[in-house]
Parts: sequence; C-alpha cells; structure tokens
Amino acid sequence: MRVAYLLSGGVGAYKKYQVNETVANIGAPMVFPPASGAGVALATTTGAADFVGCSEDTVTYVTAQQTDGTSAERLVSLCVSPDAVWIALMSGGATEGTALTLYPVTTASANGLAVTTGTAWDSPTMDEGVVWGYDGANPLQARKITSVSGTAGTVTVAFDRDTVVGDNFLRAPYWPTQGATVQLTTNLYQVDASIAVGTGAQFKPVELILKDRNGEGRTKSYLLCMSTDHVFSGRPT
Amino acid sequence: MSVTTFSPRKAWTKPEVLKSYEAPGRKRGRPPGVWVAGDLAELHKAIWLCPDCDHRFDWKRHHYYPVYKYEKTTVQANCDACKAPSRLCRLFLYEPTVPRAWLTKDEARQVRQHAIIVGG
Repeated sequence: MRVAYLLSGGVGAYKKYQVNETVANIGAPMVFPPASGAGVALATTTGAADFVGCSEDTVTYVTAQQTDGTSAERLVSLCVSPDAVWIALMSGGATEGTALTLYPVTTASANGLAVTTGTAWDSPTMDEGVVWGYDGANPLQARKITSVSGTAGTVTVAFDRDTVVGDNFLRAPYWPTQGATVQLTTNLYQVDASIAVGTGAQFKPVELILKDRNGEGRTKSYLLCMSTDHVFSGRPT
Repeated sequence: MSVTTFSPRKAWTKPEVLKSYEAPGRKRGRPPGVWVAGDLAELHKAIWLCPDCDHRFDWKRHHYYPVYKYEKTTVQANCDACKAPSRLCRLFLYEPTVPRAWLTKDEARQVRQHAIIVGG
C-alpha cells in the first residue's frame, strides 16, 4: 500500500522506527510494538490495530552486534499521518497479483437489477459490496450489492441496460465509507478482494477505482482506504 | 533497614510509548554526510533532508529518486542530516523501490484512466 493523498490536503509526516522483525516488502502495514517487542511490527492479513504506517523501505532485523560496522539498530521509514489515504491493488486471492475472478451472467435480467451467475454470492457474502460490468452491455458501471443469494447478486439501482447471458461482471467486498475492514494479501501490500464483506484488518474504504476489459480491470482495479485504528488518531485505544 | 522506594505511576499512552521506539537519528559524532550518504543510502533507506541540507546529497550518484523535484511535494519530518524538524523536508527514495513506495503523479493519473471511480 502506498500513500495516495491526505484527507487534510497537507503533507505527510514521516518517521523512522526501530523494528521488531524483518520487513521484506515495501508497502507492508506496520503496527504498534507488541508487548516486550523491540520495535514496530508487521500487521497481519486480518489485523492492523494500532496502525502506524506502511513501510517505505525494507529492513533486516538483527539482534547481535554486527561485524561489518553497521548498527544493530535497524530502522523502517513510515508515513505516520493518521489521515493518509492508502492505495492498494485489488487481488483475486491471498497471493499478490492474482487476477480478479470473472462472473459471467448465466440468466439474463430484464430489469438490470440482478447479476445471476453460476456461482454463489452469499458464500463468501458480497452483500454491501460492489459489482461492476467488465464487458458486454454494462461496462464501466458499478452498483452497490444490496442482497445476495446462492446464484445472484441483486442491486437496488438498476444497471443502465439489461444484463445478457455471457456478460462478465467483477465484484469486490467494499463500498466507500461503509464497512471498516479490508483483508490484506499474504505479503500485506495488496488487498484480497475475494473474501467476504466485513472480514479483514482495520481499514475503511474511501474510493474504488474499477476498470473494465479495456482497462484490464481484473489486474488493475484499486482500493483506496484509510486506517480506522491508527495509533496517532484522535481517539487512541 | 530496608528502603522502600515509591515511584509515581503513569499511564503511558501508545503515542508516548511509540516515541521511545522512534529512531534517534544521526549518532553523536557521526558526520551528517557519512550518516546520510553512507549509513542510510547504503541500506537504500528513505531519506528526508531539509532545504538547508538537501543540496549536499548527490542523489544521482546514489540512484535516488528526488520526490520533491519530480512530484513537487515535500514531507514533514526531522532532517536526516541536521535533525531539524521541517515540513519542507525533501524526500528521496531509492529508485528501484519507487514503484512500491510512492504513487507518482503520472501513475495516479494513469490508474484513474478508463476507470469508474466510486466515492471519488
């Protein structure tokens, strides 16, 4: 994850901290040091309580004195602004860079209110998530999913045109300002868009950048989110 | 006779605790140039320098990307050379790390092309 902008419009505040473990990836969220920890620690895919910032560089954690003359005090650089909005690529699974899954329509909808596919929309549940047209009759149209079933996702605001068998849709478990969880991928620098709504670490979606076939939407759709449990927020826990 | 010491208890907040983990910066007696161009640049760390110090860092030689120069933005930080706090600090990132560490203006524009933006 990288800083996209600050809600306040100001400049980001940056600090270097000692680490509690090796940080192998840039863009990995770091959190408040654990009990008896030596420094800031990596978040987990489902936990970013007391978030501090995302790594701007990598670092190898050592505890012993070094023979090469370098200090054993290893540092990671973080943007610590609590109002930072972070941009992350959506991944179709726990592994970074997985393409989002296509959902082809298997039953047409004459009113544009349902996306009926051969797969379940209720497990993992996508209720209150987003569905958008990848190709066919409704490319580049996104709607909030308001109910789900074992075969379809239903929207309240109809797509502009009827859905047609063979049209492909994409979906993700986010809707801006709603929800307060975003699941991270295994190496923590992307977001796993294949999981159920309401699962994951403490981030709130702020914006969705969704693309269709022409924009390579399966591999180039983004989530912008901000921490809901920042260590420097006005309501420390 | 044993002596009992009473020390006041303080409920440390997390920001206060975190402050103790903050890097103290350049070590006493370590020249700024050695610390920035040696210790930090050798490890490909992000570097921030205030307007008074940034001209001394040869970012081209160390393969760094000057964010202030290409992105026209500064950051708020304590200068890695003189330790002075400044909201005009200039951020330098090791070039190979830029695609993962910084969203450039060109990329920010690019990711929004051919896209529907919900909440934007």
